Amino acid sequence: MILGPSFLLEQILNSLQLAMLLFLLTIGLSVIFGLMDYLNLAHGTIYMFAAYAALSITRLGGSFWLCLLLAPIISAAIGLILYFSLLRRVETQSHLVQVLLTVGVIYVGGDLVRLAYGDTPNNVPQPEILARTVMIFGIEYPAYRLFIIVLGLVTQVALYFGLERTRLGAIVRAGVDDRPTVETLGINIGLVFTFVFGLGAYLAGVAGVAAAPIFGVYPGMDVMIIIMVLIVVVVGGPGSLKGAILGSLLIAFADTFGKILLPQFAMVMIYAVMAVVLVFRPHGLLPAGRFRV
Amino acid sequence: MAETDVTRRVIAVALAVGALMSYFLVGAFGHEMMSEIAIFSIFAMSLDLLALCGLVSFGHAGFFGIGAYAFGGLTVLLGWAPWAAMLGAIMVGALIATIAGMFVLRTSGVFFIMVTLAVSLMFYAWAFRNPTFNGADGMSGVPRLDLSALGIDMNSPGAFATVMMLVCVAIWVGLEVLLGAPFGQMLSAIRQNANRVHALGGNVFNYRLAAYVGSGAIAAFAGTLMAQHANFISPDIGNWFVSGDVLIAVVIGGIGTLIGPVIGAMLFIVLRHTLSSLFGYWYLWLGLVFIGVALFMPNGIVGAIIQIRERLSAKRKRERVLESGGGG
Repeated sequence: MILGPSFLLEQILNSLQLAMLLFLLTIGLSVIFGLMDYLNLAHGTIYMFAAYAALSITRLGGSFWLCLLLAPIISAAIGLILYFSLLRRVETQSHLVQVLLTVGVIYVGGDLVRLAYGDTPNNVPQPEILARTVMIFGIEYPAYRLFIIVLGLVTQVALYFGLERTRLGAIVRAGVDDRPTVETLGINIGLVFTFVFGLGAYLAGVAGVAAAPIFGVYPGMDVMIIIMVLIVVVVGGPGSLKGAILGSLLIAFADTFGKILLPQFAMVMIYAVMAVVLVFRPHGLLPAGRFRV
Repeated sequence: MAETDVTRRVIAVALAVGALMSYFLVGAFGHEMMSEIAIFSIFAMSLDLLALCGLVSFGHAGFFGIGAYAFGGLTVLLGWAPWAAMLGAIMVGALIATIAGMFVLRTSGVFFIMVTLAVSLMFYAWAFRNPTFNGADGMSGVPRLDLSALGIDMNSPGAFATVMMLVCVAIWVGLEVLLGAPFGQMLSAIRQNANRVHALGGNVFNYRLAAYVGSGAIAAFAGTLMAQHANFISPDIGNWFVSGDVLIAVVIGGIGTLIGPVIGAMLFIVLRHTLSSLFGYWYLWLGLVFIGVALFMPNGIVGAIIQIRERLSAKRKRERVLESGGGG
């Protein structure tokens, strides 16, 4: 293996691209957990549904850009339907009941896509305009992967301004820190939560469409990703945007470089990183208010 | 609550009677399944011991796997007698739990769930790569306990199932006694309010560590039984979905009720077997059962029974008060 500068740079870009996908998935789960103390394992199922929606749109002749426009809206709608019909009913129960319910949703969702699309992996093509390489810092790099990095960065900046500079963002942050007080001030936190849940499902949908041309669309992609996303949530610290960004970067780099530098330990690299982080910071690296002790 | 204890024990006795009756009704395949249920029940009870002090592990299959691998290694590779290998495997489980416990018990809640998952997957990755244990292919030829001195042929499914169920009952009785003892009371107190126990001078960490080690040792013990049942070990015994299965069995049965996990284990194995033979896409139906339990029995089956009984007895009390009030 040659660890030359161009190889290194390529791996850094690959890590960044994975980090952006993980971030898009993590932020919804993390803020929902921070705001409502809700452990929604079905978040990965929403991601998978979006990827399959993209597959269907492609088969019907729609372009990638149409997928990116429609599939996240579909996944947000599915997320909200799930929330109002099922998930909301165990809001006040323990995490374990939430886990039981959402694992049930994972099983049902997984078999539904198997029934509808079969067991075989499927492919969603990259958009034509991005199906080439571009020169960046002196190396050839796939334009599509670069596009994902940009997409993630834009989302991060937008969410940062949304959370830090708007009234709604202030309510969300206050809700994560101290929900009863926010409610006492006459704010309908349930409504805010519905919005956050929908936005989280929307972003999971964006991740599902963006990941489809790279990782493929297959049953089981939901479980593959949800474990990684949960690791990002606890490593970064639940409920905070900065935590989700830092966590997804750390885990993406650990995963990418673990596979190159220590291939025999590739499987456990991210778990090892998580274990080390949690031993020294039992509430994650940058947890939001309530989780800080 | 004494009444709750009575309810739990009545359920346990009913379950034992049911098991005894079905033992004579089913054939060799049924006996295989009963062994599996008994072993999975012991595994589930070990997880419940940990839940008693408010900790939920998503990596308990790690200890299950450690027990199975230690047993397989000691018997097949080192030629130990199965009974000695079982003791050795339990010690290995307890030792690893002690070391891991020092670290994982610094966390709690969802962080504990994730860090225990990490620890178990480290075992999985080790087993997956280990050439001595044939890596991902696993190792066959794991022997069973030799009880021919007692006139028991452990290779017959019926005899093996009988021994497994007796062991399961013994573990249940032991844990039930522990629950009532000061140690068990202390664990319950920690679950209800760890800060208060700490303020009263109780050493929360030591009690949790003791529960974690005991739980790991029992899970390793269950692992040795599983290795004997299958005559085979492979890394998948410690994989995350086994941890998920046992956790779900505990939640379905009723966490913290001790007999609940046994019912959950039974239901889980029977459901998995029945559904997979009935439907091609059986995870769909299993998922629907999970959703149903979460929505309608959030405290699990035993939790629901206890609630119904409490409601009935409260109603009886009310009626008695009304009667005596009407008389006077």
